[in-house]
Amino acid sequence: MTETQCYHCQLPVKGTPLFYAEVEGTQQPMCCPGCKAVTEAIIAGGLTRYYQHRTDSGKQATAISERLREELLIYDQPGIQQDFVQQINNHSFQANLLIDGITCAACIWLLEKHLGSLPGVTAAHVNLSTHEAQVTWDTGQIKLSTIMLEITRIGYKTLPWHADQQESLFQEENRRFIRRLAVAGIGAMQVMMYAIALYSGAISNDMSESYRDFIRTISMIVATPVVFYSAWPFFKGALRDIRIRHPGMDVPVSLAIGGAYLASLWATYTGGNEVYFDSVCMFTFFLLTGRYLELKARHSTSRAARTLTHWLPTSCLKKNQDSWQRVPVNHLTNNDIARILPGDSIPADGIIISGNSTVDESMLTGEFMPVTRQKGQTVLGGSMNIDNAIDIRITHTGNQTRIAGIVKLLRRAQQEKPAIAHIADRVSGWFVSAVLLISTVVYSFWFHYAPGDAFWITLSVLVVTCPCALSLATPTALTAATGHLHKLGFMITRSHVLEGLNQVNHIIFDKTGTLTRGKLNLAETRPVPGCKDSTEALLAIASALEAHSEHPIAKAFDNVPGARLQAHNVKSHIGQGIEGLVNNRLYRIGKPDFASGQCSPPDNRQWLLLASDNTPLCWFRISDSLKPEAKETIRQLMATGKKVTLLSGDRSTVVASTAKTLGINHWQGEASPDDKLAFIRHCQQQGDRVLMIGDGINDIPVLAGADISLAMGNASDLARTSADAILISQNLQQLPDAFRLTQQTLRVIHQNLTWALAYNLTALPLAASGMIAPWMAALGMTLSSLIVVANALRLDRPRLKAGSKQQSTPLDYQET
Amino acid sequence: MESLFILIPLALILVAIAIRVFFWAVDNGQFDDLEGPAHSILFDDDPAVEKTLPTGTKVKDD
Repeated sequence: MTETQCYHCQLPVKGTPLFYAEVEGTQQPMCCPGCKAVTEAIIAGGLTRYYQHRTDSGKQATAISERLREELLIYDQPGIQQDFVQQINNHSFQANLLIDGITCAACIWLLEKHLGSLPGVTAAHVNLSTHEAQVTWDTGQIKLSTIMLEITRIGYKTLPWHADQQESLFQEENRRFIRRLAVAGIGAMQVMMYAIALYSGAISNDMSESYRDFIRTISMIVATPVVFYSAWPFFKGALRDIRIRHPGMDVPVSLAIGGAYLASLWATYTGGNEVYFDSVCMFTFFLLTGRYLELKARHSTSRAARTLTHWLPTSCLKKNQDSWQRVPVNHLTNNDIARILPGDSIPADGIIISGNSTVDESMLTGEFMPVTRQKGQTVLGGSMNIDNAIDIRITHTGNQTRIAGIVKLLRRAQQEKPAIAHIADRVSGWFVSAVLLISTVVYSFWFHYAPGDAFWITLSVLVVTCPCALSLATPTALTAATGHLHKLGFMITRSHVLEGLNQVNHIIFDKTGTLTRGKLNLAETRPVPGCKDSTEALLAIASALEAHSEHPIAKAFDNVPGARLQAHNVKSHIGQGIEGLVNNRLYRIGKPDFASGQCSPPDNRQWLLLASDNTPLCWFRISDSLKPEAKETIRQLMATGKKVTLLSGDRSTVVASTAKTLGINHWQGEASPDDKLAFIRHCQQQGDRVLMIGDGINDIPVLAGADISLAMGNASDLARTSADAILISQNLQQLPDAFRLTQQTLRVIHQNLTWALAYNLTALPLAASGMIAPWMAALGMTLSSLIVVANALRLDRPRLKAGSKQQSTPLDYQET
Repeated sequence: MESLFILIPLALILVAIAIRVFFWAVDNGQFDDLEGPAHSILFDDDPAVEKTLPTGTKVKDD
């Protein structure tokens, strides 16, 4: 069976597509009204080319609700705008927005084009690296809320954004680095040109001393800013290393740069035999390039962790004397009364003072079945109100909420994480000591035999044993691999992941949302024997009733094919089910004893009963379906000799059957977060290196406790920010690929280190015996660096077989 | 060859000016996004030509 894909977001569409949008004369299938609206907005704006330019599918859209419109209107209030809007002149303003859902460069084009075509928008610029947008508009012609609504209409989410401290630090750091790189690069080119003149003069031996000294002086003038401005971070790092008595790469680098520079100064003034200005500049430039790559990778990953969809809503209804007013959540204080409509997130911790409802606390507990909350009970900020409107009295806001507490816990757990030693650190420490030792030996030896040459020869040893290739070896490989993984949809947010993945021998999966889709599906429809209606008719009745509910179970009836019916007078009974009129008959659907107290479900799995006048008509079985690629992934991981465990808070019977279906031998059900953490600690004590893959907030302490943790792309933000890596594509098939790539990365790092050390070992004796001219040293240094970088870049060529998209119908639990 | 004494310092001055200009560009945020502009040249702005594709749903295979 071939699966139709949504033209916009490329998610599979089950069954016959219900929605179509016309693109260039062809009716293209759509998965939901949201995507349809987005596609139509894009076409209407004459921006069809987006679909040809894009290299990644769009994000699944959400339809624009009335509430969203109301929420956006808040941003027109001047009091709210002062945070993120600057006035440019009389009626021209500029706002900073953060945009969520940008997947590739075509998104930038689409956003800039679309916003630019709105009347009253004078400029729109979107930054692909940071996902920030700057929009300038004329208040006489358009309102900010309209602009934000338009961004939403073409399928993105947007939020006001005032660059926090960290972001402005990033920007400052980035700019400083580019300046340093430019000075080093331009300086290196200039000095190399002068060096060629000096070399040719030295070779043909006919350069007059006045010219030679003049060119040396010029070289010195150019090299000075390179040393004191561009290379400054190395000196600073070296000082820090010496202070904490932990020699890193910065120490030999600084010694070589500083020593060569000072010696060259000396030679320039005394007319000595060699200057090394060219080596100094090249050296600085290469090293800075490596550091810059590292910096960029670090920035992009920490930005990845900064997500838009905050767990608290942006606005809520607050009681003001005797009316309700929509206010931004950060304006709430304790003892305020807030009204939460069904389908809204709860803005802060509070106590229900009127109404009762069911609340989805999955982002706190991981349980996706809602819990009932009544008057006088506590509700938590970040959870989702499902059935009825409730009024709450706020007890804790912002940093005092339970969810903020979890964040604090998490930070603590992270600090206690077992560290994974970096190869580079180990090698560099050893290398530094060796170079210093050898230099000392060489110096004392020559000091004995030829005191005049001792200093020069020691210096050439320092320049020749260029730590350059060595310090480039690891960062370039890591950066290339990180970039490649990013393309696969596997985003690394902590640096130790690449090296750590290789030591992992035990993989622990959470079940819900990780191995399963984390959404309830209709698994089976079983009409009660003797029922006259056709299955389609029964399904249509059920979906008509469920269409009125926000409950996760109701979502299972979303894509039911066939005729559409309307239900009237619908009443939902909390925690029980729904009743309503369809075709003027009263139906009930829900728990068996609610719908009709007359029969029991076929087995102990989750069944809903549709009944009319207490006559049972049809059973519907609801279950979560496994991801299609789960089984194959597990098989591949086990084939590479890794232990796989299924650890879940779900009922043991379900966990057991899932484990059986997937071929996992070790499993544990009904595990609380504490049990999970204890299990991981136990494994670690036995010497296992554990990779934990999960998605809920309840997994957070566990994610923090594992050696390496991986969160699914659809996980709650908290889980995402606390994990070491995020599987954005949510395709488990990328796990084996990631393991393969980390192996390759380590191989490349080893090759690079081996090459750098081999080069150094060859060059050292030659330098120590005083046989190496400075131009040879410079050439050797450059070549060795280039070889290392070229070797590392091989990692970024997607030669790996990317996780193939499997086309199969969701496989259900086969309980035999 | 004496011209070198003039020409090389002249070249130095030019380099200094180049670096000043570069710093000015960096401070103006022209280097804040090193990814987006690289793609933007590929997006031609002429209106899309009407073309009729063979009817039927096209399933992109990737």
